[in-house]
Amino acid sequence: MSNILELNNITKIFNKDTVNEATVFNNFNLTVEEGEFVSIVGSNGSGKTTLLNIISGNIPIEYGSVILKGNDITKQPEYIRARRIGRVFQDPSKGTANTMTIAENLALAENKGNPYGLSRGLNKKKIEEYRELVRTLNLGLEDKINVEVGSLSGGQRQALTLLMATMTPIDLLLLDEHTAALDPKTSQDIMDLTNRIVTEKHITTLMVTHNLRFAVEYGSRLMMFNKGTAVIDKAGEDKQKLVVDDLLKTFNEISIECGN
Amino acid sequence: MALNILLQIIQQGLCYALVAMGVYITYKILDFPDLTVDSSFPFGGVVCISLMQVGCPFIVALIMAFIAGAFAGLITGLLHVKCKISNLLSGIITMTALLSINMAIARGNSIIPYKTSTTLFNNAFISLFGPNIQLQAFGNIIILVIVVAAAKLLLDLFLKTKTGFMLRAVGNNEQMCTSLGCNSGNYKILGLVIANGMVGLAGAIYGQYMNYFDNQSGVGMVVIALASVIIGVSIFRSVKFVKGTTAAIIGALIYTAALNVVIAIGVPTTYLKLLMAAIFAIILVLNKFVLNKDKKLKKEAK
Repeated sequence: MSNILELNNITKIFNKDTVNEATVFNNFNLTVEEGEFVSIVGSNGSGKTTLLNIISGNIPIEYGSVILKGNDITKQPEYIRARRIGRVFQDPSKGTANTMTIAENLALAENKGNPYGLSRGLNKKKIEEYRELVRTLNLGLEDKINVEVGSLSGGQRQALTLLMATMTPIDLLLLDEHTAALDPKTSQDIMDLTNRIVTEKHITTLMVTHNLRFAVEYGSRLMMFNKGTAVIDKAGEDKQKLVVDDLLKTFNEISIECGN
Repeated sequence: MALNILLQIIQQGLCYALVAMGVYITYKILDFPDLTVDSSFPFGGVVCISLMQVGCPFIVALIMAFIAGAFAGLITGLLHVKCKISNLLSGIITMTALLSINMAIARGNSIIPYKTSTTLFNNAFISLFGPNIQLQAFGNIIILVIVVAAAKLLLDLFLKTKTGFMLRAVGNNEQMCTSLGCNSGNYKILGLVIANGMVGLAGAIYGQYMNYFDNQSGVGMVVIALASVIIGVSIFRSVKFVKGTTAAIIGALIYTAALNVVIAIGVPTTYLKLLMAAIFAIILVLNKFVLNKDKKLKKEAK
């Protein structure tokens, strides 16, 4: 299997040369193979979200390189990288445009990677196509295809965001605590949907989550972060054997070390 | 008398409607309070009249006025996006700089009259209406309606294209634009260019309508346009099928009417700008009040 993502010698320092200087990553390395579904857990401030921000290009790094599918993308701005990387945020309002309809949002997402020219954004045929697409979500969105996204619930919006992020071919999907803002039932639904989409489309995925059960039950590889290093990194059979209690134990040990 | 005022309201209102549609793009779609408008309006006016003075046909002069306004928008956009200056300050910088440019183009004259030459309101079509001023005003209105309707339809069409969709998405959610692989800054610049282009065109048409260029004509234009957009949008808030552009046009007509009625009642024109500001403030307060009432009602309904 080939590596889809390589992080080499990443060093990330926040507020460099000030009293608040904080080193999150120091010479950090990570490789992710094609088709892997990596769950990442860790306490607040352990660098999980920073990791996703570094990969997506949202924040600059001091040293190191980011390689996506053999191409060095370290110098690429976020919007260029986004053409091959899908991302879903914790905040459901970040992934969609709330004053635009579901169909309009989907039309924008479908065009990702291509120039947005002066051709018509939507037509009847497309709307019907999108109607069938959202029908697969089983959320009743097919009847709201011309309704503004702002009136949807958080779960519905997150489902839509997932659909939009994976609508075009991408090399990598980043999920940033994407179920954290939802109620337990909806959270489970979105997790199942995520798993279904990722499995069906064989998308290499990095999922940051605070839900240890999701981390254990879903995905092919599990990592636990602490202070910018992976204290647990298990894949394959080792990962299958992990149970929530193991994670919690390590989690507590780390917390005690940190004095929490 | 009343008819004269009504005709004046419609003519002026339609000129302002073009500005309002431009500001609809920046303020409502991009969430960008663009102060460039105060200067891009007379900029269009002075470019138009200067070109016509050297024999340029009025249609070409109008197109050049659009381009001039668009250029002003481009500068504001570049200042904001590339130089990371805040949106308000970028507008203020361009607005102030253009005051000098306008004066320079006008060679120091703050008012330039149109010498008898063919304009949008002085041509074969208007002469069909004979020498009667009121009948001519009808002719003016027909021309203005055609121009405003054409601008509105073009803008509506544009907002339905993929680029138009993305423009709306940028004002709504910049992160989404980035996530879709687009440079959100470029879309902001595009919006400012189109908006100020329309404002420049409006300035030129207004100059031809007044039959002179006035360097002061842009003062308070931001207030006029914002008030128009806010009036229009709040009136049609609950009506789905009315487009934002239509709302802006109707808002402009209502605001112009309010101004003219107050003047007609006998308030001296010295206080025009004070009135503009006062009516704008009342609109903002009313808007807030009505909006909150709506929300309350909705809550009770639940």
